[in-house]
Amino acid sequence: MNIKFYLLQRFYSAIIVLIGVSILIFIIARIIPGDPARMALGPTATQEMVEKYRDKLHLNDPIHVQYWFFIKGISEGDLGESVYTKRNVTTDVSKYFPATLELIIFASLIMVCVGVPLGILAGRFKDKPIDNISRLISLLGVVTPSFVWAVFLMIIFAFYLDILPVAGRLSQDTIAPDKITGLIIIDSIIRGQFNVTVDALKHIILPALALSLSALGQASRLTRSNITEVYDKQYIEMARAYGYNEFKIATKYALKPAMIPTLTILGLDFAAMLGNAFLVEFVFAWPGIAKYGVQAILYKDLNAITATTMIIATFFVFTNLIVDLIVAYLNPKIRLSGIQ
Amino acid sequence: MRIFKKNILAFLVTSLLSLSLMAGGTLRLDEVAIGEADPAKATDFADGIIMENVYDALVTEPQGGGPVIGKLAKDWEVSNNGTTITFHLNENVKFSSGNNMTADDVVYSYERLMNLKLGWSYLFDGWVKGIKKIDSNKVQFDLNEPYAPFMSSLVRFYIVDSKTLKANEKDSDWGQDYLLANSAGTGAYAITAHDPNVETRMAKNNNYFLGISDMAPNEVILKYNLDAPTVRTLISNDEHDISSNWLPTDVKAAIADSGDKLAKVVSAGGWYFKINTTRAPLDDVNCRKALAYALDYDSLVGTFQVTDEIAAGQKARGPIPQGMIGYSENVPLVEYNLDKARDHLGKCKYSGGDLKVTINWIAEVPFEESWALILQQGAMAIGYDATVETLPWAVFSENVTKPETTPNLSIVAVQAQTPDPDGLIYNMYHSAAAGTWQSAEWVQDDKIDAMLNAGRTTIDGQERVAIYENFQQAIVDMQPDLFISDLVTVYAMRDEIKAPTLENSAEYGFSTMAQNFSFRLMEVPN
Amino acid sequence: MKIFDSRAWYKFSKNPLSIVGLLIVSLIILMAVFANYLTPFPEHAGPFVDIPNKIKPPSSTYLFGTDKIGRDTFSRIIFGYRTSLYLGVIVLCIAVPIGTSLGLVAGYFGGKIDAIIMRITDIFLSIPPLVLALSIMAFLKPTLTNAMIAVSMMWWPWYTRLIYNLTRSIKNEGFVVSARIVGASHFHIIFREILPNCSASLITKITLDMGFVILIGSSLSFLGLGVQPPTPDLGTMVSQGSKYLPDIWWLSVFPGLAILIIVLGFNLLGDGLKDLFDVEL
Repeated sequence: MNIKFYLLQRFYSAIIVLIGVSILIFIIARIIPGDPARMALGPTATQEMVEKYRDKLHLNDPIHVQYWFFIKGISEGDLGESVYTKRNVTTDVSKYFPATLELIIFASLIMVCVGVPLGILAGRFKDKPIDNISRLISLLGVVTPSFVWAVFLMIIFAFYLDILPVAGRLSQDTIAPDKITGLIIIDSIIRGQFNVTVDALKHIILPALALSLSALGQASRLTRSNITEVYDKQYIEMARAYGYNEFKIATKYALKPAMIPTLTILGLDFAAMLGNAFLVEFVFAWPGIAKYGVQAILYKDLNAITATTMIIATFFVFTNLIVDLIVAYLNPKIRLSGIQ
Repeated sequence: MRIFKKNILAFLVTSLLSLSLMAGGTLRLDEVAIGEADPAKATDFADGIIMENVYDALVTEPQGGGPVIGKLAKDWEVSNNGTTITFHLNENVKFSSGNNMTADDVVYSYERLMNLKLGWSYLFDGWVKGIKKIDSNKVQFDLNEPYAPFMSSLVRFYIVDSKTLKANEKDSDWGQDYLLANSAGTGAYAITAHDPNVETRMAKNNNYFLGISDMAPNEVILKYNLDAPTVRTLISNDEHDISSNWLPTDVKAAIADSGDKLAKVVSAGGWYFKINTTRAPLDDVNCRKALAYALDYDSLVGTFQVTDEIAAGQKARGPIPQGMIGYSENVPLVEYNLDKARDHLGKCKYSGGDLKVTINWIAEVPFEESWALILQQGAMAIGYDATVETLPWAVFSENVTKPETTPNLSIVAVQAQTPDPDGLIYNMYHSAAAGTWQSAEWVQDDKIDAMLNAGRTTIDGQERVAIYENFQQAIVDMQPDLFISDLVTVYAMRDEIKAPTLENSAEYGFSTMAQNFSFRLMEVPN
Repeated sequence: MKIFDSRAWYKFSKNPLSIVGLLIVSLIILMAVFANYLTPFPEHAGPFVDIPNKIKPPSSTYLFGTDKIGRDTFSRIIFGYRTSLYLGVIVLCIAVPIGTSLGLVAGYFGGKIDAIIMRITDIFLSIPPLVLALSIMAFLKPTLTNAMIAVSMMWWPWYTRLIYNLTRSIKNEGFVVSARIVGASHFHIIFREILPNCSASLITKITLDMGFVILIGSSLSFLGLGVQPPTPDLGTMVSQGSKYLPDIWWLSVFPGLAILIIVLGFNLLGDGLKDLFDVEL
């Protein structure tokens, strides 16, 4: 019963936050200098055409009326027309979002599968060489901006060693499988087009790596400090005194309590990567929503900016929500005693 | 199971297709986004490339330059003192849909263009009284008065398949929705896929009415907004064929160094620092002249040098470039001379703190930054407070719609949209054309207007040359621009590709730049 | 405030990494401040053009090579540090007071004020930082000032959160309760009792944040939303240099390394302070 109450409270919070975000973005977007209608129609349009378009976009209505149309549009799935591509923003977004999603999932996998074990090893063998190496890697990961990593990785692997491709999701002659999820790697496995899978994997490695290094470093450091803390605890000493083997101690007694804070951070990082994807998508010409968002910003594409920010914010908020719930479930302190 | 069957089918189709496409490979090139595929909305370079390949116009320029010759029109008659032109259309020309091209399509295409009032409609707006179908192969244009650039302007009037568009109309949109992803033309290529932000794919039309060689590419992929290092790497890996002009000079040099080639095309146009003549302190001609003498032209030329043989520019004498009617060696070159500059500045009505200017360059064209900085250095040397700013193209083209928001100086390249000097300079200097990216000078001068109008209505060739030469001198005197260079475009190309329109543009090229990318005139090995 | 006594210094110096961090930061600050005297070509940071010397690889004259108009990369990097440090200082000078005040007020008074302030904070925190900064920059001209405003706008919530949590735990401590009983004013309690006890966390976080603000700033300018030329800026240099890869590598690599080093310095220093004060951030 407590869990349900917690769930509802968090959900309610999330909705309030999203509404707040939408208002914030909406207001910012309407303050811009420049006439979005004129920008959409181009320099050769006459004044009357611009006025007609302004009416169509409801730009001459009072602001709360505009907001109402905005919300109505979202609920119908119509996010307006992009000034730049002259197409429905919904179409653009549904095309570009899966690309970013695929990138983030892959980067998160790297973060978890490399970062966490690295942290565990560092914590377990504290002050030994592996600890120092791991700490160095983590540190470098955290302090270097992802675009610098992207440039370095590109120089080394795509140019000098020439073993990985330079840009894009697929080689130009490879055709993406028909869309099921939009994630090329998954779709191509489902459809049995394994050559496409390999090609897609080759293309995703460098950008995912560049994107993950910062979060990887963070995850590793956090895991390391949690592990060292746990290993200092008395029940570990007890287990050792009882003669349990090291591996059992590591997995059964040390890992579980150490993972809880780590999970929180991992979840937050997964969502945060969405924000950082901008830089990596730029360098690797990855056709994702972040690159689309930055273009929208550079071109003052009103509808695209609003839509992109809303989608990213929604994703962020709900991922945080899910992470909170998972953590609440796993942490017996919260699960058994009610809301924190 | 269905997926499995679909795969077998796809495999069969692909192998059959590849069997039939033995000769002519895939051509890959790139340009700045977006690519507009609708002939009534096209205005930009990438749009032009698509237009020239997917659609045809009534007339076209011959290779190597010269007066227009017939394309979709066999021939034509001019009567009524140049105000009535009757075109005889080629028979048995088919659209990619299979429909025959007839006078109905020409009339529909014109009405569509003028109704939507976008794209190149401005070339005809106000000059053409009407168009009518005489019979299924004869069309007549009636003009309000004699209009010398009319025939040249027709190269931008593309004929669309009226039956297909009418069948696919949505809410009387003249087929705009259909053309978002398809093409409906008679051209040597047809669109198979189109994303204006990512790429446009075109496939060869083997039944093209003018014939098409086996060695012309079977498929063309026009990609948008590729990064410079990407293009560089793809070309050296033989995965990309022709670069855009916007590659940094030094990257082009690197490509040339590593075994691929460069193609230089002298284009009908120029690079200008467009000066907003309505905004202080540059509304005073002496202040403008001061800047003209403070510009280190040799440094500018240094930035054009790509390799020892190829320079992506040449010093300009005025808005009309070398090779076009109106160019004359008699107009003196402005030289870098700080003393002369300071002289002019002394005569200017502004001084001291009033001498504040902003120099804008377009974010998508990085080599413009060097020029902006060169000007800044010169301007500051004679006493200006000059700041450099960069703007994305979309923002810039919006700012120039009003004189108050148009920057003091902006770097823009302007190309002749038709093979006629009017197609270049009218849009820049006529007061009626003010407020676009081509006319950030806001020149509103009666004498200039009169000259431009005369140029349009004078049919006699010799007279026209004289008018335009006077015009060139008048503009140089007024100095509404700083002339950086004639427009020379340099493309990096894979060694195996043959493109005479680009590699030997003097003999085989076109002055309408996008037409030099006629894919059917290229040879791409498999 | 006895946080910098000799015992603390001794403890700090025991950790070699923290010393490295301190050295890096001090060196960079020194170089940036005295850039005019320490760089071989200080005039290259302004409107300077030298086409014949463009795109020269690293040599003894031009330590890190020259860029497309002939300017020395090394000198520009040092001046670029000026821009970075300036950005960091200004942003934190704006974000820290705002965030801290809001956190103090929300934590101390509780109730409705608490709910409103923290809700707003949550809203700002739920947009990924870079997205928020970019959205704000979308509607402003790309200048250094505007970049600073945008980054400050996304930074203050972190301080509100931190101070809020600290305030809530401190306000029930003995000395605060006694102060209240004695009749001290709210103002006194907040600024004389609570805030000083947050100082260790604040100083540590500020130091760590310098690095991250510089990182975010360089990301913004990488995307084209930073300072205008010819002012040197590390992010812009990486972004523009990346167009010349792979043949002309020095224009991107050296500024990239420069960003790495300054962020590393502040990070090591901050970590050292964290260990020293034993704070939970």
